[in-house]
Amino acid sequence: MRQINKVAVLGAGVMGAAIAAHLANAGVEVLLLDLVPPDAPPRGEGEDRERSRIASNALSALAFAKPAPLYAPAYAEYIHPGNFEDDAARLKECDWVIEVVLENLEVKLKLFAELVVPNLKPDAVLSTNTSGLSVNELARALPIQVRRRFMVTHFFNPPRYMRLMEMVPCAETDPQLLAAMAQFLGKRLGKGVVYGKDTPNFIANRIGTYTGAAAWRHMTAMGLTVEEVDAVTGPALARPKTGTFALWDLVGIDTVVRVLDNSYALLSGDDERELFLVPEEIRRMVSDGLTGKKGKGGFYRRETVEGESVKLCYDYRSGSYNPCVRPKFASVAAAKQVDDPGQRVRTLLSGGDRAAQFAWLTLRDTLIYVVKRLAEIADDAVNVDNAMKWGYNWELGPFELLDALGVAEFVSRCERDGVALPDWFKEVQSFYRVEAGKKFQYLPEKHDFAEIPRPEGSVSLTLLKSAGGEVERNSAASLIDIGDGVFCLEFHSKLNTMGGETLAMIQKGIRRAEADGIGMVIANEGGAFSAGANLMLVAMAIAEGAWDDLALTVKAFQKAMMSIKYSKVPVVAAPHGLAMGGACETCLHADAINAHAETYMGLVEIGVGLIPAGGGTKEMAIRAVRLAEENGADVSSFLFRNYQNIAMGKMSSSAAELLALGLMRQGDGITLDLDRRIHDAKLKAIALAANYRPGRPATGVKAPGKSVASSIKVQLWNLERGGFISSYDSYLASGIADVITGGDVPGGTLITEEYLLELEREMFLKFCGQKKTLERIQHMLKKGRPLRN
Amino acid sequence: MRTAYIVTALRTPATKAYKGKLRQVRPDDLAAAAIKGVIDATGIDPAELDDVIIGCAFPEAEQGMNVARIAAFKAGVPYQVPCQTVNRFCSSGLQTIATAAERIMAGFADCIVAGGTESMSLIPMGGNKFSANPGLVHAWPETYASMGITAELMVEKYGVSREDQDAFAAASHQKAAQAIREGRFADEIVPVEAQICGLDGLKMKCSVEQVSVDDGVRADTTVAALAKLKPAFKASGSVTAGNSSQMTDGAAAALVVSEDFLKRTGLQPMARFVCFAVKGVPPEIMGTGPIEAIPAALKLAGLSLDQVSLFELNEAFAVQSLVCIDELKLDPERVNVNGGAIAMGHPLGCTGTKLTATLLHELRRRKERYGCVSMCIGGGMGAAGIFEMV
Repeated sequence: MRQINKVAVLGAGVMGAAIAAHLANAGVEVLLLDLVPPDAPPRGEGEDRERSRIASNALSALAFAKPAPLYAPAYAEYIHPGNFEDDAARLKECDWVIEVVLENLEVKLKLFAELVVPNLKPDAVLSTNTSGLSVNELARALPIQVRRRFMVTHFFNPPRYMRLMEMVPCAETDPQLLAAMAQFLGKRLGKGVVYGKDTPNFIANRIGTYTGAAAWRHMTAMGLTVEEVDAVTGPALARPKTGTFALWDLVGIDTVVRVLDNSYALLSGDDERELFLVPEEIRRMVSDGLTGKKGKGGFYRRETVEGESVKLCYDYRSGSYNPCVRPKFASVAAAKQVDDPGQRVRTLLSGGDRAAQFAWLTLRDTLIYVVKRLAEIADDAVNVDNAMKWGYNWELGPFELLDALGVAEFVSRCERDGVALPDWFKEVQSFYRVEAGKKFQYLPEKHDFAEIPRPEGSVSLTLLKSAGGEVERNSAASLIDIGDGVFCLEFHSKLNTMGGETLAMIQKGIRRAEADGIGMVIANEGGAFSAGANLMLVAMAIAEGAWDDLALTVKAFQKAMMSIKYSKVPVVAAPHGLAMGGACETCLHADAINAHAETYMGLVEIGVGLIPAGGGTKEMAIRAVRLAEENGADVSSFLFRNYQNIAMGKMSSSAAELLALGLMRQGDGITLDLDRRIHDAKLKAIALAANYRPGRPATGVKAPGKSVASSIKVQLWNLERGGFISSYDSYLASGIADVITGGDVPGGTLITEEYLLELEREMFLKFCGQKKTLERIQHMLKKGRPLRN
Repeated sequence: MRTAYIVTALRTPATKAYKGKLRQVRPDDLAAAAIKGVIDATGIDPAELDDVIIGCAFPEAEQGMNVARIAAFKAGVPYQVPCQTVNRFCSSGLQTIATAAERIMAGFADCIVAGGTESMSLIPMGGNKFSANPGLVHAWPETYASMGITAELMVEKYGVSREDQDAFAAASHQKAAQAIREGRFADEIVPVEAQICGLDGLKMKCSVEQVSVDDGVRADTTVAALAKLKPAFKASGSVTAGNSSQMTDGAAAALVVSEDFLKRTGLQPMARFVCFAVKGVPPEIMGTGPIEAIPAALKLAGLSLDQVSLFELNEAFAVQSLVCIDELKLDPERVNVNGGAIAMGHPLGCTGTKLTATLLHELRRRKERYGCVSMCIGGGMGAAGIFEMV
């Protein structure tokens, strides 16, 4: 793999600094450079820091930016601020130079000529983060030997969180170098690479702005309001909650205008060019300072009226703000009940109201535009779909959506509308096809399907299942043979919550892996690893007073966790996204964790009035005792940390943070590329299998004891007196303290793992019997956020 | 009964915990500097000492192993001189003077160094391993009320406003700043050689600096600036980092002797030790301790309040100081005339001796007769000592 160990980021604006942060996230050294401020002292006089003030300030600002650009604050040390003048020669140290300065051709060309070309290392890559300028026009300023190493690497904002990376070569770019960079960007930075062409605004922003402009056109034609359009163009259309106009507010309406202007200016051959003409109403908003969240408001604005924050909506007809009117559309309400995104859009479009009509018109225009422009802007459908999913968070790309709607059905409805369609499109049956573990896409120019190549090191459970790899299945989970003797336990219930079926499959999966394999991976391809134990089941059991059932369920959960921990083959958990409560406990009982970098994990049970009783509290108690023994130290400080994680329901904000929380350990791994995490976990399982020595339930554990619990309770008393926690918080936290310290015994009393599980169960049932716990559970189920009672 | 005299009382500068120049100096070395300062200033032969008594609120780790013994050795006191460490939390440094005086008054000793030391940089409040008694936590958790909470409970009980607390804090800084400007602490401070090390590339750079000034004072602070601070101990509270005492490192020592010793050596005493009283109050409002202790001490001394010219009342919290001043009807003009712990810090076990040093030097400057050192004590106590200039 091409080694890129040091990168120069030219331009320390919001985007440049955030790109630098993400490079630091990947463990790459970064030189972050910007201009010398006009008022800075001449070189050699005064403080050097003053001359690099722009980059230094941008670096300091990273700590406060929301959402956090860095996985961990300490990663900022990888970024070295400097300036274009004094640090020019240091470009020679860099394997990659990325330009992120003003979107202005002259400015960029001047920077290339004066700073980059004279200082670039002979084999270093040079790229631009331009979102709209022509890569070939930029390349013209470069000597031929640099052009071979020049390309667009277009990050989406915020770079840590947006997966999309649009790569565009210039005419002379070395194809091998392009491929090597794509590999680096994917594997090390976790980016989803999409290849674009040298066309205005590339793929995602071209389609994204068209989609917004089409929404505007049909909104004004139908006389709909801004809030009505956003209600339709959000999740109901398989797009994110921001819909159309809240997204513009977020991006900045001035930015949207700039992209639209750029499109209009450059797309002289586009038959729908007129759509990109910025409407007068929007231009006026920008000139009035209504640029969105960063300005004085946008399509939405929050105002404080009589002490309360009120959301106002912009009326584009009058140019004034009015209280928002919550749209009520039967079609949108019906669509929201549907989980499957394709089915959801079908439900919306089949409605009979204005929302359904509007949805059809904008979606129709957008999909036809994409079909017409496919060959111009991208190599194939999969690049377009990925661009929209990774850059705009659409649940389905345009071509996937066409498949979900049925291309033939779509075509016939368009024809009923009397809209023109390209001939080739009318022949298409579908854009994708999955057969025997392989995914194919339709290539219009070949009138045939071709296999979509998969990068080495990616595992797709969906494709493995299509090839008969699923060896066990029930309604909540499956066991998939992922090769080399490793089985993957996959959750696939709603939000991947864990219930009886999940636990049964864990037991079954372990037995199968022990009998027929060498190891197991726990992973899935859902939106989140798992929201934890199924709370609805707990609520129902409490409501019915089914205490015996509840006790059995908890015991079954613990049994499943213990079977993971003490299986005869290694188990590696590969969480991604949310991993709450029981899901976290599942990971804690695995031999190792290989987490996706964006893993938000924690023992959050206290939020619903419960104690982690799937072995989570037990595990954190034993880990603290073991750490104390290993270090020859008193257990208190280790135990306080582990206790606090549980009592405060702490969630990690990245996988990197899990190490500090003690939920991941030395030797656990973090994968930035979402598609590689299962593969990496599998490698870990294979490595562990080589000399695997199964463990056995711990005995002779020195209980931290009641003095430690009492010291915790002193803190709780003070926190309650200080009004930082409620008396019920204090009650719950005291119970957690009693369990994690090994019950009401003198410190050093020898206890066992099974005894700690028993304590967990008893406390869990005790909490379940409390009215306020039921209130917390019900609140969470209804509102989706914790109640502090 | 015999009479006990203070020949001198001196202190090291008090610098901010974690940030100040003494942050890497061990508390036993700080105490040694103070002890040595007293020996050098009085010119006594250390072999003549009958005891060295050092107070410390968390006598463990660098403050452990009978820190008085360790510090005495480092100060050049011969092994024949015995040493003891005393802990009565924040009054430890006053308690050692009282203990020394009492032994002398009883005729059991003639010459004792009494002092206190605390490095809050190195030893956390509560110690390295806080361990509460389970039975007491269950039956009477107030025992372990955090100091901040005791201050907030006093705010509730006595209805003290945020504004009054901040005004008191600002005044403490202004008085301390002026005292430093006028060099009023110069006579009582023993400079300390402090080493600070840091890596410069591959070279370790260590600098040794003579530290002789308190660093906690903010001459430019205002009530408006203090008003911006967030409550530190209670969500809707009014006790902030700005109107509480600072965490500080420091040590202090005094030479306590008998009349016989004075005659024999020809030394001139600064003051006579009059009396010491300590009283218990509810632990959750430990800040009220001086309200009980000061009248008890006055009674022992047979003095009335208006005979006492100056008070050094440890400013654990502004609210606690305000309530004590109000309840005891103290004249604010006579309390902490050179500022207090809000500005200059409260190095727990050192404070009693430190405040005695400040009190005696100020009484001498003003040619006044009686003065009182008092403080509240964690766990619910108050202590007061009275001195008469001679």
